[in-house]
Amino acid sequence: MAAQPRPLYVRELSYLEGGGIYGWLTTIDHKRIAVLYGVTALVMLVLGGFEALMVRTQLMVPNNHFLTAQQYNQFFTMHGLTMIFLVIMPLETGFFGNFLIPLQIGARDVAFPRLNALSYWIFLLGAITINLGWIWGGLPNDGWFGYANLTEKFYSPGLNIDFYDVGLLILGVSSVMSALNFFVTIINMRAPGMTFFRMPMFIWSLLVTTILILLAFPALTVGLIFLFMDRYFDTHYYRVIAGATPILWQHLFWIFGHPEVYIMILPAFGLISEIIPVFSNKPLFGYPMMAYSLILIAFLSYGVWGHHMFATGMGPIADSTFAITSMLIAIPTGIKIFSWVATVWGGRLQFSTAFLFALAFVIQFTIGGLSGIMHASPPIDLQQTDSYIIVAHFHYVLGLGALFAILGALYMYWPKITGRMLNEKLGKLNFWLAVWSFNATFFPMHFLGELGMPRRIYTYAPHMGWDFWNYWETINAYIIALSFVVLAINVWWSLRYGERATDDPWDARTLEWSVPTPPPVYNFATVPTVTARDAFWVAKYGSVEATGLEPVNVAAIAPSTAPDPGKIHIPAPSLYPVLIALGLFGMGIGVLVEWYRVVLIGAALMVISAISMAFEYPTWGREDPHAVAESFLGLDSRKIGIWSFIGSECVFFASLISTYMVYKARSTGPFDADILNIPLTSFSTFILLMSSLLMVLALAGYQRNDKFWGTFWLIGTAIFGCIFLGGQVYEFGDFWLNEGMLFNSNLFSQCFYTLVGFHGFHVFIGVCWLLTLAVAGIRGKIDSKRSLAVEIGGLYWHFVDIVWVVIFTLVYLMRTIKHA
Amino acid sequence: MWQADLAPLAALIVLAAAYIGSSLSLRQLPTGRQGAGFVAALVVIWLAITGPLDQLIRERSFAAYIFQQMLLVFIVPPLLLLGLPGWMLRPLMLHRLVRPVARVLTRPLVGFLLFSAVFTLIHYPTVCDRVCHVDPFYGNLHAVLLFVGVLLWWPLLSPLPEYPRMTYPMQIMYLFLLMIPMTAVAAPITLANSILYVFYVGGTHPFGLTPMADQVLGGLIMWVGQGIYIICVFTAIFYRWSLRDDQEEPPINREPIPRLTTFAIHHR
Repeated sequence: MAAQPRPLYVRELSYLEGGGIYGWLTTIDHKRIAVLYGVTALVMLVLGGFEALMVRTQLMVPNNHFLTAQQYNQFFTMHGLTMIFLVIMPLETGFFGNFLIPLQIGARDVAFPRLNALSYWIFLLGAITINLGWIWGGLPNDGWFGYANLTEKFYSPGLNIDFYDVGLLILGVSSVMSALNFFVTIINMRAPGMTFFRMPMFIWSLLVTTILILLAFPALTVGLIFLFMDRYFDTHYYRVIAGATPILWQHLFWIFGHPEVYIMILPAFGLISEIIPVFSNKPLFGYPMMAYSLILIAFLSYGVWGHHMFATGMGPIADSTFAITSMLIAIPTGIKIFSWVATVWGGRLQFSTAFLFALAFVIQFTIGGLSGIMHASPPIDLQQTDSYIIVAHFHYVLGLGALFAILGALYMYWPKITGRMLNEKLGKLNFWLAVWSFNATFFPMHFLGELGMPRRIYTYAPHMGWDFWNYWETINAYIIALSFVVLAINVWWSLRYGERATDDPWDARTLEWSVPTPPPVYNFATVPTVTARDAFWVAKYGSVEATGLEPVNVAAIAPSTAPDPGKIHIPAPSLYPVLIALGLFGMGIGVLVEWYRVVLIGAALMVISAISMAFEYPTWGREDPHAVAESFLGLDSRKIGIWSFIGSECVFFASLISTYMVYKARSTGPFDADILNIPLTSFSTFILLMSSLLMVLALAGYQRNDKFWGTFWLIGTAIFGCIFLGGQVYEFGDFWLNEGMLFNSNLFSQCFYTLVGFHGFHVFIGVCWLLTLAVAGIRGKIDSKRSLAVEIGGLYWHFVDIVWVVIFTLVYLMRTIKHA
Repeated sequence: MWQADLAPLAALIVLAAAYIGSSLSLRQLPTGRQGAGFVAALVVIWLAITGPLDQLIRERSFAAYIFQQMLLVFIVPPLLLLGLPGWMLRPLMLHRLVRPVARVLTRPLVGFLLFSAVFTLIHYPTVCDRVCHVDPFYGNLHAVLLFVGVLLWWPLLSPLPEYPRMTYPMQIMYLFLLMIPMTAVAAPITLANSILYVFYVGGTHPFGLTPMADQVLGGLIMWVGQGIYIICVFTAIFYRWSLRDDQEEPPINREPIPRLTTFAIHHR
């Protein structure tokens, strides 16, 4: 380890100190939010582990009655949901992402700090919603994939599926928000000189992951909304009886679900790519190819969802094609594995616990990848699907893969996060216990699968050759638990007695190790200028390839004089994120208990807090909290943010429109041609298009500092939006009262009302947005310098209009032509 | 088998003549790569809309129809843009009547949306049956596809710095987002469990495929075949980007713009 000759800063308060409980509640510091994510996810890990132990205990011996079948279903479902949505995703993106992104790219915080806090609180309340079944009504019990039509009210009358549905909807909001935030941060908040090809590989992996989240989650949201409508409004989205198909759920779920697999594993790849070079004392081998393979996986991930559905009978041509695309994924994954091996090759290895976890990851993930290639072949998959060999496969890639990466990264970053070292001896014990027990538990599942043991069965008969391995796996599952107990002891020991960590205990390579341990609130006293990949290493030793034995230029990154921390702009803490999240939670719970007053109170709390948050900064109108000067591209972060949001919305509407198209063809009468009123809608379409024109005029007005006409046209836009909405309300009323087309009359009516209704809701939000801007305009707070606020509102408004043009064309103009 | 289809051949000859003519009148020669690209583009157009492929479509092979579209939209436009030198396009593209239109059409968002809209519409069953395959329009369909295809590829391969290419990361993002409209069109066709296009029910059906299997194959060419092709393009872009590491702007955007004022004056 290199010497530590650099307390050049005057040591400031670390981010962990001060503030008290209220400080943590209102914090918008990315490092504190990371700690909140981490603690929540580790609590959830205990819960998910407990659920797994219950499942394993039940399967320990044949004909066991430790759990009832109902309890067993709830435990295996919750184990999956907890580990995926409440442990691995929040630990990788929420915890490591939040902590490392700004530190690794040389920023003082994420692009939207309050949005970041909001994501966390919504995540927490979503996690609570999913878990409400512990005390009330029963846990979700249909598997994490929640296949229709088992989830229909007729088959699952209890609240179980409602917790699943509403909980995942809330978690989806949180995931999309933080993905958007991280995406904009990585694009726009990089330190000067931090080009794409100088970013640490973890940043690359999160860049790709956030894009996947933005474009994958809307499909799940649409699926969950349909499920919600089936359960609460008696529609038929997944009911065969009305001509619908439950396979629709599988498509929507796996459009989301396969990218989701990469959302869980790509950050793990990134973490491993950070650990291995540091402990091998070598730069990452094949850096461009590592970045390339990440993007290639993202490209392929949208073309392979069919491989989850071989068993639904898609036909030989489709099966073969999806088999080929699925096998192609082995190429980028292979690139990564060989690059890691080549990084280790010839390095000066430092076998710390973190490095051991990373090495184990590479080996174990390869095993999981190999069984993945087997499943990609339809004839083999048809034998293996829904058997224990699938369980073995995804526990190898996620449990022995992603979770090992997380543990390795935890051992590596713990000193930076807490300021104290973990005990290496306990760490080694933890590692060897984990390696033994995880492999001993999950490897024999391959055998059980080959012996024909199906997944999701709550008990089995003796003498089928399954008894021994099940017994063995259960024993080893408890050893897994033991390895986590060792980790817990290590954490306790470190916080209590651990040696104080130096700023750079591992002789590491990237910028996060150049700041004091634990980092001060503002991260970097002076924003560093980056001249090379592995910036901190180059600052220390002169070049990337240097061996690291003789530091030449240790102080290159640190400034010689301490700057005045009072001059560093840090946004103030805010209570509104908690309030907004509570409002959303109230809405969710209110719907579940059908207590609509709570829904209204929650909605009101949410809207009022959101508007208050928009006007929170007292300097609004004078000082821009996200000044362009801080940006990498010279663009305002908010503009990139709204464009990413629009990209995400495109998938949302594409899913709704595709469903409409497919279901319209399967619907019974009355049909669109009998119902739709073209002249009226043409008029409201014209009005909406005109409103876009007014929006352009409003923006132009503000840009030339003409406040009166700017506000005038802004209000005009809002009024036109209201006229459009009025037309929609009239149309819906007409269909409902005069034509007798109820929401759930047939497939056409439900899809029509959902699609047009959701668009109308977007228009409504847009009108509210415009009116808020108009109020700000009347109060004289928008001038040519602040006109960006109007531009962003305008982008949203134009997007909503374009969506309407698509809907008008596909739904109204191209309605089914009657064959006379 | 090879029908003597004179109209497309004539159109191609006009294009080739215009290429040679402008080269002569501007007294500059295209590079070998550019010439090859242009010739290849013409050959692919010719192969796509006449001859055996056309014959297969007339025998009602949906897969061949989709393959033809893929050629016209994903193979020909990049070859054309690689084949056309900047100096040859400049007088045309900077003409005072062309410039305001070109400025709008060559923007990435516009090209992307126009392409997506056209591509979605022509695969809408009613439109496909009642517009695309009705004879006076069928020939124009190829021209429309070529046009939106060129618009789609312009931000990736623009030969003119006046209407620049996107930066490399934006090019990759653009290709990635292209998957949304392509999947939205291709997936419903591939996964439909009934025949969508009445036009393709009849006919002799080459390759011994049933109309249903034919439809699935067509959908897969559009979805997966196109997807793998796009991945190859992305690979090429990423390779170029990685060669110039910290430069995100493609070199052509920084090409000095010759005699811009002369052209502006000349064409006023």
